[in-house]
Amino acid sequence: MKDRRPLRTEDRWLLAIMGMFPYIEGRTMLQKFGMLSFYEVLKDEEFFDDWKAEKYGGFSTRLAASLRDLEASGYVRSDEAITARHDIVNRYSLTEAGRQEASGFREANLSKLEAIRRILSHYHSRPLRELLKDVYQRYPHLTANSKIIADVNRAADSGPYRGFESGDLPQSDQEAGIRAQVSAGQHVLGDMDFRRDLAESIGLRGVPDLDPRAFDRVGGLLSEQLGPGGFDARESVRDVRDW
Amino acid sequence: MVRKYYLDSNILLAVSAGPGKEPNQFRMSMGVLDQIRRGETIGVVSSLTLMEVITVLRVKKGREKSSLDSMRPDQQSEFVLRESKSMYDKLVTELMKLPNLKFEYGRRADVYSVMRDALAILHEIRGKVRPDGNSRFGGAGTVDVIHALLAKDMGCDELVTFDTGFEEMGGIDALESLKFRVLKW
Repeated sequence: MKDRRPLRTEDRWLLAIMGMFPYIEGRTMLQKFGMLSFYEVLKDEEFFDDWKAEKYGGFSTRLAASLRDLEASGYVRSDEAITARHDIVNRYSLTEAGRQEASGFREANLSKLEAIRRILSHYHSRPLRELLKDVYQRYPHLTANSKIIADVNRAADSGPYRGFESGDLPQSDQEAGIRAQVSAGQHVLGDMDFRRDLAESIGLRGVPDLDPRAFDRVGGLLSEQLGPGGFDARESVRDVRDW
Repeated sequence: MVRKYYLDSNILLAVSAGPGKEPNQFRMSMGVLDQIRRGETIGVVSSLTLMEVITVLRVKKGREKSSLDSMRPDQQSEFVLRESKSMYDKLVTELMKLPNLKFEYGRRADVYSVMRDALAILHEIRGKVRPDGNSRFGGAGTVDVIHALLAKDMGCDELVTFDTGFEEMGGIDALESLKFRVLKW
């Protein structure tokens, strides 16, 4: 019998979530499933809340550590598999011991786990790029340090943001690792077509990079050109709408 | 969960006008921008909003009698268009640099359904006659309704504005998923 450390509540949530599927393919998908579970359902629960912006987007160090511990303790197993694109990936699944732990916890937390299942099931059988596209657009504050933003943007440009109701992105952690490094100042909200149109219409050579200092510049930017005297934005807009 | 705020044109104009014009509007609109800066919300700017910004700036420049009176008619048009575009270009350049700001044409709803819904919503608007003696009916109008439908189409949680005419739309079923945050002081 493996030497097991006591399970924390967040470990049990993770087991229950993993138990929803025969396996979860790749650490990236597992991290994003954890992120969705936290932000959409488990914010008030004892679940991994240390989400930081890392190189593939949101990442929880505690979830990663928990996964390692659960594998070492014999609750989770990982098996290498080869995808249709001939990448080697790790498939994480529960052992019998993990399933037993998950089963008891699931009975006590059915409604929240059902809410999580509805969200994650949408992505489990779909390409990783769809999951990345949606979480990048939904949690842009966790993309500041991402090295795969350009790839995510290309996928985002190909269609509207669909949330949970819906290029060549990396299909595995390994494939993501060989992508070119890109700057973190790139756009992640899937609006490049509009930005390109705007840039062209105002005579810019290209789409400007993001720059948080613009928040300080935009306040009062037009005050001088608006001329002396007051300017009531509310009434000015009302005037043109009432024509 | 990061919320999405549809920014009305009066918000963008109040920010760019600065604290010297209408201090309360500036303060409150910068508060919205600070939420966007902190990543608490995503600000959404529609093409309709930008169209209104251009129009307001044109109207503003078109009222500068002191500049226009000394010009020939053909020069006057040129002046208004050139000056207003310069201001618009300056503003849009900086807006495009703001993190957590999204530009949206709107992609999900088709023109047919937007226009059909807009007509139905407009019939539900009661408005009121203002008590200031102008006998001016006040209430959400055509463009307000289109803004609201665009905000809904873009998946926004709230439409943020200074215009009290939007308050009435909070009770309309077709816009149930959208909250209207009217900034007041």
